[in-house]
Amino acid sequence: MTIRKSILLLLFYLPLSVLIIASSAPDARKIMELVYQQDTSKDATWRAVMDVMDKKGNVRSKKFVFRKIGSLGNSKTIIRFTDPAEVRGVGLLSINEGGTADRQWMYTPAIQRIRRIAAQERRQKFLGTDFTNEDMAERVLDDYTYKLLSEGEIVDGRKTYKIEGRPVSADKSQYAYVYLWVPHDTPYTVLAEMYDKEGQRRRILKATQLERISGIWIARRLEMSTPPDQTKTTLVIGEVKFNSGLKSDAFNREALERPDNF
Amino acid sequence: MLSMLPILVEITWKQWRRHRLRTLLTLLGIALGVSVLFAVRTANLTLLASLNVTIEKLAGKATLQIVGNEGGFPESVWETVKDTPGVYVAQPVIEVLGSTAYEDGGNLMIVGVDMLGDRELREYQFDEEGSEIADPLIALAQPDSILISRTFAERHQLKDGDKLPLYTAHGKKDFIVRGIFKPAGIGEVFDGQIAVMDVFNAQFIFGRGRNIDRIDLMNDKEVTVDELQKRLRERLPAGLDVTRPAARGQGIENAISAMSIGMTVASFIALLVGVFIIFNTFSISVNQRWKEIGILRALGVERGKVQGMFLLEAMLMGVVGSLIGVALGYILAIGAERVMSEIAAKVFSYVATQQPPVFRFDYALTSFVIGVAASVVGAVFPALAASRLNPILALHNIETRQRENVLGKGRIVAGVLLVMLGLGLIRFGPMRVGINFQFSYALLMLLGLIILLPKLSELTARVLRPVMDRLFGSVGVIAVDTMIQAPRRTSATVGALMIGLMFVFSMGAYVRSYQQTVSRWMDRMINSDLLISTSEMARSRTYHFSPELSGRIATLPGVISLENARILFVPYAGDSIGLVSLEMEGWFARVNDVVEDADAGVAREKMIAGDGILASRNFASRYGLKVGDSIRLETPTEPFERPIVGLLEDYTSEKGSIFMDRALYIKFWNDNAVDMIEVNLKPGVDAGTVKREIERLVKGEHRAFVYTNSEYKRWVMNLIDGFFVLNYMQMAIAIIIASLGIINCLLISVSERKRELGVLRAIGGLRSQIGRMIMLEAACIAIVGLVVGALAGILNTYFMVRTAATMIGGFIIPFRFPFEMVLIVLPVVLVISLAAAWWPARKAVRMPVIEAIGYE
Repeated sequence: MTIRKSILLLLFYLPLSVLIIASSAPDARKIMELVYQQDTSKDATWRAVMDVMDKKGNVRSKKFVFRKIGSLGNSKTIIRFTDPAEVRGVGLLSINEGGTADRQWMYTPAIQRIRRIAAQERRQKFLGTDFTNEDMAERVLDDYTYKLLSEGEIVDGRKTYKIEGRPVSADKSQYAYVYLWVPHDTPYTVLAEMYDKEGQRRRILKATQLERISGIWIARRLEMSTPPDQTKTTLVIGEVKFNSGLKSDAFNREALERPDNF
Repeated sequence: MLSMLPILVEITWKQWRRHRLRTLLTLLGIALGVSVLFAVRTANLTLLASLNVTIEKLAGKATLQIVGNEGGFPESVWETVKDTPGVYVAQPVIEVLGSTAYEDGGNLMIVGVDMLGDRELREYQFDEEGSEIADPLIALAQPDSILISRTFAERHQLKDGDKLPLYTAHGKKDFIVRGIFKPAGIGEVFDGQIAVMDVFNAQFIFGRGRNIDRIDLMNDKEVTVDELQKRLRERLPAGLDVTRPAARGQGIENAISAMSIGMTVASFIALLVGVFIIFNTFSISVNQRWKEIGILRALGVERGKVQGMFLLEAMLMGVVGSLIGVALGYILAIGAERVMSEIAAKVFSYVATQQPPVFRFDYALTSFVIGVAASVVGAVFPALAASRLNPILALHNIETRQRENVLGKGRIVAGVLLVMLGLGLIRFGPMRVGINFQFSYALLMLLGLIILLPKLSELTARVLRPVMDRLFGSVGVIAVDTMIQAPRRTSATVGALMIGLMFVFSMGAYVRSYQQTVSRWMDRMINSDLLISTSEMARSRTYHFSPELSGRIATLPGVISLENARILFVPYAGDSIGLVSLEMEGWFARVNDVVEDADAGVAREKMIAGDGILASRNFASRYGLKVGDSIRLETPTEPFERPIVGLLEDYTSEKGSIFMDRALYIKFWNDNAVDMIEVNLKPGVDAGTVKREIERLVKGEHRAFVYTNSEYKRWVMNLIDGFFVLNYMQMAIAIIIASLGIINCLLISVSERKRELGVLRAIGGLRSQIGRMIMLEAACIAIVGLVVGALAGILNTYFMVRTAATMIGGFIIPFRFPFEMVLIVLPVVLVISLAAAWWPARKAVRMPVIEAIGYE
């Protein structure tokens, strides 16, 4: 599931063309457009490891495979957990259609059944990770308005644009605003801070180990932390494949019930 | 009269101080009556509050709930509900009252919820501040995941990751604790004996198929609850009710109404005994204060004012006694509520969340007013007698009242007529005119008996006289004569005893009749060699066997056949009736002559073919149905309609029950759960041996109660005893209050006769003779009370089996009076009477003769 999140984050916060970034008159929305549009893949497959650390420092680790077909705002994804044994075969299917809330189903092999996941409270954590349900939803560029705050901040040795994003519908987000840092030379959000309506920093997302595969930027390591709770979720992405010819019939309820094909 | 208040208070205070013990006992009599009345109402209210808290906590923020019958309904309804405009959030729920496999047992309320979305509805506070369930994904992925309250965790020293053994439809299973929530919100329910698991895992683990018990939902802000309720009712299939959570409490209130009514009746009985105590106290008080009354009358105090003086005194006594009673009742309510909530959980599977006793000022005030009124009522006749005293004779301290007043023909005729009227109404009166109205039948009889009491006491005493003469000589005769000569005094003591014993005997008779009836019914219906049940209460609302277990038992050596039974309650005509589904072919093969009002062969064929149902006689009677009439029920699939092909005697439910073939039930209710397995053995096979085999088979896997036929029958009888525990409590209360009545009356009676006893001593009576005489009089009063109590008991038993049993229990129970109980109670009453008389007798014989003669 977190994989899916990572994808979304990658899509939301990242890519951009180096050339455009290099231009002399930066516009916040244009920078973000490049971040959103840099992933031009028709499908994607990831293998990843997710570590959730509680405030005592205990770490729970899970492995999963993430598959996606379609483009941002019109995509289908399946996440299949492969490790540990207790969650092996558990699958999550999401269907994202522009303008509507994600529809999600979960398959649990122990009882061999699919369940629909209800639309939930935005601020609620998703399955114990540091990602909230709102973070998990597939966003589009127009969900936020953007404002460039600065151009010279250094993040992980990269010069970045600092952009403020504010939700278009304030009542539909748990966040009042977010700060995004996008490197001048890479269309990818390498750092994001999310603030609540009281101005408290609720979450921090760090994307590191950026790599370009098949012309698409991805971060090999993503870390979402929740400072008030002192918890952290880390995603380390291993094998990545783009445009491997995934079929749409691998993204429906029947496919969800076949954990063997992962 | 108010101007006389200071004088009255002074006189009263003087009297109370002078007769401290009498005053104390009288106050105690009123206090006990009021306390029981207040305690029962408070306990009842507290129990309902406790049950409602469970509903509220479990309902969370839900504004509406969708409920079906006990078997639940298909989860597909959930989709319909979610898609209904105006539904903000809807969550499915399964509730299971499970049983832990720990040595000390104990039930655990397991609530199955959608763990991915339920937090919008319910409050869960987890132990780790700000943290969630340790690993929600594992908790969802593993059906053995369970979250428990910290209270439960501490009770059983459980922590995250520990195993919790529970009995499920698939046998005993170890669950893994994956979260501990604080004893707040849902964690407060059922004294913390609560666990939460994922609803879909719960379906799987508890063998519920794709059924759920309930849907809790919240409305959108734009839609009112009423509007949404209407929309849902239009969309949902029949048989499902859309209700506000608070309205469910009403259903529970109705279900436990029989228990509440029984307790309330007991409290009024207690109060009635209190009235007798007051009556006795004031009768004696009037006797002791003749001279005082004479002086007042000679000084020009009018009759009305004398009467008012006594009534005011009674009122004062009522005020003090009732205040004590209310305080005492509040404490008593705590214990009563515990007993009632245990019964509610065991018998009705309603789980209470213990609440502090609810103090309702209006209840306190009502009990107080009733207590004061009862005191005044008890004092009316003595006060009237006081006002009618001839002042001249009173000044000479000579009793002027006429014995005929209490033994006159007019009274006897009135008494007999009232008893006859009560009996007639019970026999011929309409059955369904309302509980309060029908209780008046019993009250008429009781009133008649009270009027007849002096005559009855006198008659019994006259019968007793020669016996006493033969056994104890002149002392015995004097003891009986003393009784006969003071009919008012005797009647008051006997009356207190009569009320208490009437209740004890009739309740005992009712319980005994019920037991005998059920016993005979079992002989006809329960004749398989072995019976396996899911619960120690015959059936469990939430725990069932799977048919797979029956399949395994069927393969055991010695087993020739078995039948699976499902017993549940389903809505019918706005009420809830019993539904028993059995494999009819096997059942008909072994039961004896159960079908009534129809050709048994035809009924059998239709039942096996699923073309009809059998209805219990109380069901037919309750709803005015007969063989040939059709029954229509809403089911989770489609409406069910079948004709009644025969009647049968059955005691599954007081609201009535119907029987149908199991295949028919499964088809319509889509539920193959099993509540009871009836096993038939090959001829010559030892039931005990097969029982041990079954126990070995289920050991560690299923919570199953395996009985041989005779064990089962004994067990059912014990169950009935368990159900009647409240009745036994009522009987105990009645005995305590009746004892108090005897003690009070005898103490007063002996104290009052100090002069008379002194005269007896003066003319040569020995101390030992006087002492013996007092003790014998006490014994005679006990015997007379027992006889009159038995008579009243017989009449009240008739009321109970004819009216109350049908009205409250829905059963037709034959009239049987347990005369042996009278013999059993005799020594108890004798001991209490003799113990009560011992101290005053001792005091009386030790009093110097001169002082005794001078006593006024």
